Amino acid sequence: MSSQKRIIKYQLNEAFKALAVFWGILLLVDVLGFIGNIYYNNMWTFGIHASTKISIVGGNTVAIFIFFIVYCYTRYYEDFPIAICLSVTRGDYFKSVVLENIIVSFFVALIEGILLKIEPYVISAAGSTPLQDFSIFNTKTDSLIYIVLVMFIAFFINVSFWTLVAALNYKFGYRFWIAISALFVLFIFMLNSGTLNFLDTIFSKRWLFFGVLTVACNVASYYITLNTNVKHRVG
Amino acid sequence: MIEIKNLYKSYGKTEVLKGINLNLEENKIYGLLGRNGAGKTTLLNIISNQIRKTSGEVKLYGENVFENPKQVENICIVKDSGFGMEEIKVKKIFEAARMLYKNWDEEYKNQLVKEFDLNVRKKYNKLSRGNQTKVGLIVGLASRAKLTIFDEPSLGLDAATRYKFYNLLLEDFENNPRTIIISTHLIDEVANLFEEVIILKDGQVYIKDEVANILKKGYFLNGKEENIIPVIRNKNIIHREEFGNSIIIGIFDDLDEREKSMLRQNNVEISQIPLQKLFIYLTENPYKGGHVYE
Repeated sequence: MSSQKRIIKYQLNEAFKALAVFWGILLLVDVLGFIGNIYYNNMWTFGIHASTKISIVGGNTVAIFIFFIVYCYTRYYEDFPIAICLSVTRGDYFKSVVLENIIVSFFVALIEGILLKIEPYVISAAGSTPLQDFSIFNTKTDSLIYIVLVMFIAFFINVSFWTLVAALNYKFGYRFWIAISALFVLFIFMLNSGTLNFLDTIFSKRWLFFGVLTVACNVASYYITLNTNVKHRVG
Repeated sequence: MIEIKNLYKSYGKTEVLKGINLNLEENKIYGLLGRNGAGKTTLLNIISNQIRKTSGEVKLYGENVFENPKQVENICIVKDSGFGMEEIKVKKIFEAARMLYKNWDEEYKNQLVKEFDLNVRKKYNKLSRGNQTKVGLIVGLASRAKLTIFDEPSLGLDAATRYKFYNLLLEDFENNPRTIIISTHLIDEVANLFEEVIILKDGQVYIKDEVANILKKGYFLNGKEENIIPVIRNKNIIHREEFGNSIIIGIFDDLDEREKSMLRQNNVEISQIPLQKLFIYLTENPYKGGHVYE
């Protein structure tokens, strides 16, 4: 087995362990959410809701986005140093990260898509009205393949962005946060002064914008990874 | 096996490696010696693709090493600074090593874990310094990498464990020959392991030779100064100590039989300088590695 295949196998092994724990907890929370809605219907609503319509599984997306942040940081703060110290090249490591990002995004989208398709039946059976219109897709009218594809793209964009953030943070440490703070102040200033109005035009071509953003994030992450050394404790 | 040509490495304005040229052969044990800051760790990190070089060439089996998966997978480096990740269980480090090293010997690893009495359920940062070192030694030995590098392999180890490691290393080297580079400050302890020694000084290769050849040139001459000086005129003096009427002079040079017998006739005691002392004298600043009586 080549070095590239070995690191992919190792990374996927780690990713599936993390996914198993994550989905185990999330499914338990979902089940508790359903039970909570049945028994405490008059007091609280679990999950997300629009007027009388509710979706518990839809609320998973917040947890999924947080999972992706933790997952991307773990890739750089835990797996990257171990892999480099155990004779994996930075190039091979990054390629395995991209492949893993694709597989993990797809896997999460698939599970979430299946749950979103099943959920309306469970909610209806419990006597409530399911929320099915999620703006970018509708679980009533759209097919499972379409829903999974849309979510996969959204998750992959997200994970590509956080991979870049984690790579920058690992390389530059606290200096990264100083730069982010400075950029944030500049952003607010430009937003108030109307300098950023051109962003409306870019956002109107949403798919093009996110496509370019994803490619840019991955290319930048690749070059940062190639130029990053493992950090060791002092002393 | 390894070919290093004009290797330079700088950190900002500080030049750490200043034109290293080296050729290392396959299936030999090399000792890499040098004072603190001589550039040993930097050199080993460049050879093993851990850091970038500034300029020059590092080739393994004729191919550049940097970011070359085909060659990097033949290298295992065990660093005194650990694995860059402290909050990790020891068994997870071994699990990663098992999956990432192509020649990993799991059975041998299990044997070594027992031999070193290591608790693999503990987190790496909860282990004592000595036990952290043992984790590295096990990875290095069980990796069975064609080029295995140990950077300060004895840090925190008691004498008994150090000797156990030296014995295991020799035993494993006999059964599974490979190229091993050991960088250490406990020179006399491991001098018997080395086939060749490389001494780095001020970022350059100062000496690269077989241990026997180096030791052959290092002599302590103990006697009266007037009896010693005429014989060692033009020899490379690396040490000088005075004791009342007599002096001890350390030389690093050839001494033929005629010169030896002349010295003995004049009641000058001749003894061999141990490798550790020889290294200290050669790399000591006051003599700048050598001084000659004109």
